[in-house]
Amino acid sequence: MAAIHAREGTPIEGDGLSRPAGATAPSRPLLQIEDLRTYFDTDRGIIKAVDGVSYEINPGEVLAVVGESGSGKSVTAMSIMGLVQSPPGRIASGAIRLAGEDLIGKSEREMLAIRGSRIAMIFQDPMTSLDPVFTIESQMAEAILQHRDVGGAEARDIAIEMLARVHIPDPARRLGAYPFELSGGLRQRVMIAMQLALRPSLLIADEPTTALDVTVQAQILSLLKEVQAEFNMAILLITHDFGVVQRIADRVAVMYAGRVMETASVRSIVETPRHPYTRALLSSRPRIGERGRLRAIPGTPPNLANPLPGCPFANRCAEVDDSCWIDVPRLRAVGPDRQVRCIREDSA
Amino acid sequence: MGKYALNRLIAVLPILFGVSIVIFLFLQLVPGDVAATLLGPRATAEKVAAIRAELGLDRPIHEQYWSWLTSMLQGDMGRSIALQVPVADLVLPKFLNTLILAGASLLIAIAIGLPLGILSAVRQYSFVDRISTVFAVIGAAAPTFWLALVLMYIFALELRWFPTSGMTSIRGDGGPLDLLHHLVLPAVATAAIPLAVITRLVRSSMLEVIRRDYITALRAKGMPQANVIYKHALRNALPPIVSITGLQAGFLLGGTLFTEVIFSWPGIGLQLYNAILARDVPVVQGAMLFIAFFFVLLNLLADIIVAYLNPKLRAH
Amino acid sequence: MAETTVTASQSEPSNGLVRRREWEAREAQAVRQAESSLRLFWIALQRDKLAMASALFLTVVVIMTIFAPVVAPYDPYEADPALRLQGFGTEGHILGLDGQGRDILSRLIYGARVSLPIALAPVIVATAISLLLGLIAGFYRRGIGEFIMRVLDVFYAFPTVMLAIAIAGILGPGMPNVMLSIIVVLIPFITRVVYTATMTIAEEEFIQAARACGASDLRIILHDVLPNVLSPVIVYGTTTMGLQTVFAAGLSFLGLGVQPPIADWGIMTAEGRSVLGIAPHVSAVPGVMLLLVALAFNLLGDGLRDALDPRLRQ
Repeated sequence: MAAIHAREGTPIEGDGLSRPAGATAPSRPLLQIEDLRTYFDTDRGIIKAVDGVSYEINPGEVLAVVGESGSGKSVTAMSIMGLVQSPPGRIASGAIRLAGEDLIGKSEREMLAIRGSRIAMIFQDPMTSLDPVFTIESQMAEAILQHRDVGGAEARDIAIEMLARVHIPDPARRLGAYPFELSGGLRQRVMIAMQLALRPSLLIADEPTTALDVTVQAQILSLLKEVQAEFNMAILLITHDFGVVQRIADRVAVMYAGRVMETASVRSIVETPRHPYTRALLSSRPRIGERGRLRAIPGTPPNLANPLPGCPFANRCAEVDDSCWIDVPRLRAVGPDRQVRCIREDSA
Repeated sequence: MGKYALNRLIAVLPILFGVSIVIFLFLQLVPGDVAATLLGPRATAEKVAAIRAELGLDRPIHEQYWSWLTSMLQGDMGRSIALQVPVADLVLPKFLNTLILAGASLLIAIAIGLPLGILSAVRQYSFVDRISTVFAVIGAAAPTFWLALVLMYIFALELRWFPTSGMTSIRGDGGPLDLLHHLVLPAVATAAIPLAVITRLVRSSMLEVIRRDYITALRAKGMPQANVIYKHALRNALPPIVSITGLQAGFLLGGTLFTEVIFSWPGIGLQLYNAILARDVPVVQGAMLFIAFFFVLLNLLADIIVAYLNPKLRAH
Repeated sequence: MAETTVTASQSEPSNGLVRRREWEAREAQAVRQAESSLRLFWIALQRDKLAMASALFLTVVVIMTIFAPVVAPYDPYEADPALRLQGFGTEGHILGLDGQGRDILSRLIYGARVSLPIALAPVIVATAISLLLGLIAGFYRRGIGEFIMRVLDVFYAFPTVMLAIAIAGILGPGMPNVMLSIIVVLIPFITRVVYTATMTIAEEEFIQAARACGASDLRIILHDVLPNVLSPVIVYGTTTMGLQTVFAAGLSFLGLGVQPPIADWGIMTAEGRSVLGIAPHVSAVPGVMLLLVALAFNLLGDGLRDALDPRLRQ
């Protein structure tokens, strides 16, 4: 695979999002994913949920990974956490480097020390991501005691402080509450406070606002932005919603069928999307003041167990032509800090 | 919480009332002339008349029920026709013997089923999981009376590790060790079905909980496996396990009948069996009343424990 | 994958249209497969090898039962005292002989003619009665439905096995009484299955819509509710058939069911009990047969449940 590309003299897929020399890049990326392939062995064949994904996140940066469900964005996140259920899942190849250190191949014991304290994660549905039978205090305290060298009383103080940081009123009283006594917005705040208490350098937020009301969504997003700056924490934001992306992200990676289709800064991707799939996603989002029905992208994503050759988006692409059905296009650098996977960019 | 328990207790009363009607009607199930059938073909006319008067068979049925119920409530369960002793004196000690057997079986079922079910769920599709599933599926289908014979043949007749029958040896000291020696085979035979049911249930409840978001969230927080499985997952999987274990504990009272008959364990099942063979309906009624009452009580207890495990119900 | 992509593109570089047709054909096939739920059910069941093996085993047993006089090598009641208690592999008697010198294989085959109907017929009758009760109770939940379910609640206060033994015992031995006791203890369980399913269906929108259109209750129950209630009932009925076969044999084993010398798996097990120490095969054979039949019904029931559950079809 690599040999073929090398012979053709084009950038290999694996080199991902590395910035061109001379750009104003910080010293070293916080997280660097290279040519990651996460497969699931099922009785219907190998499902290639993540099939050669590369991206990187710099310290203190917010990277949004955008795509429809099944595009592999969540599986990538679970691969980073080392939480892909195995069997049936497995990481077939690639590298996940946290501050230069490859996480793939680390023992479960080593990962325990990384999860929570260096990479934390919050989930889509705050209604189901807290254990219903324990109080907020017991759930926060056990994580703090697990990762930080403090005593019980101190853990309680940290918990109260963190609840206050995420603007939960009367935090000492809330500690004694069970999850069912809190609203969805409050629970997501508790989830965020719980992660902040462990002082991670990267927070993975998997659709953190999708299950919430619109007004609460906005509050949670501004809270994330606020604590991100305050704690100088990088955020990997997984979403399908460009509205969310525009509010808080610095950079975007668009994923489809287990691959990155386009990456760029938020501004350039919204103003001049170059991949037809990015354009389709952008035009399918609702806009204020625009009437008429939403434009959904027609068709269904390809079968990941047994994909046919050709661009995975070809069957749904508005700009498809015969040449699209031949081969998977390469992810090609088309400008500083910008890459696109489309055959047009090859011939351009 | 106390209010919930009280409500459940009140809800049980009409059920117990219904139970008393069903048990009373047992007497009406006896084919032909009840008194004559109960006493058998060699009974004299006077004896038949005496029994008819004792059971009140010549009175209207609602009167019969009423007098039966009032004497039951006063603790008078009637007299055994065959043995001519009060039913309560006959049934109560036997019931305690059955509790020993059923309790031992339940202990075996939980002590093996709970850890095995957890292990199978945590290592789904592993070798341990497959083997325990095979055993659970076979255990649930194995006829108890046949399993008892198999155990008796192997461990009592061939290997001679355990006695074939009874609860104590005639020449033994009747102490706890002697009892235990007699208890092993019947307890294992009776435990097979609840063990299979509990193993499968623990496995499926744990699997259901392990898939939940908060378990992934705990793992993502870097909590160790033991904390995730034994504290959080098990605690959340517990309510259905408690309910079904309560139900199985009740079923054990029925399941012991076969093993008591085969191993001559002097429990309520054997007593019931002998009473049925002798058509001694008052003893059948008394035994069934004990069993049903205990069964209802066990399920009530399980319900209250389940409610206690639920923070929403506990708070109110 | 990537290699094949590259080689394929090199060998047939301008074949885009062919590829496109391939895509479209595959999508159309996916749509077609999603259409027929019966087909999906069949595919799912066929994939369940244990369930298929169980169905095959039960079919063979039923065929042997029907053609018992042809299949059985001997008369099940004819004794050859000279060969009493001979074990497995005795010449001409592959499963050995019992305490009276009767051929165990022949008794096993003829025994199915008692042991299967004595359990399966009551399950069918109880299912029919329960469907009636459960549909009424689930559809008219207040009043009559409440009454039916409260009465049945009483039967949940007894351990099933004890209740059935007491009923069968008081009624006296014999096949009809065993069947009656099984029917009585099964009705509360199956009715609850029907009731729960009916209740769920009756609240669905399409039922409300049918009501709004003025369809009669009877029509809604038979036309819309019944078909949706059948699958949980079939699953439950299948699983319980195995349990009831074991239970009916248990009653006969205790001497409360059919009586000797009739060939029945429970009676055969009981007859082996007295010679357990010297000829364990006499009670082992019918016991294993009961185990296999119960196992097959359980596995078939599990398979049907999984195949009927749309969530598990994947």
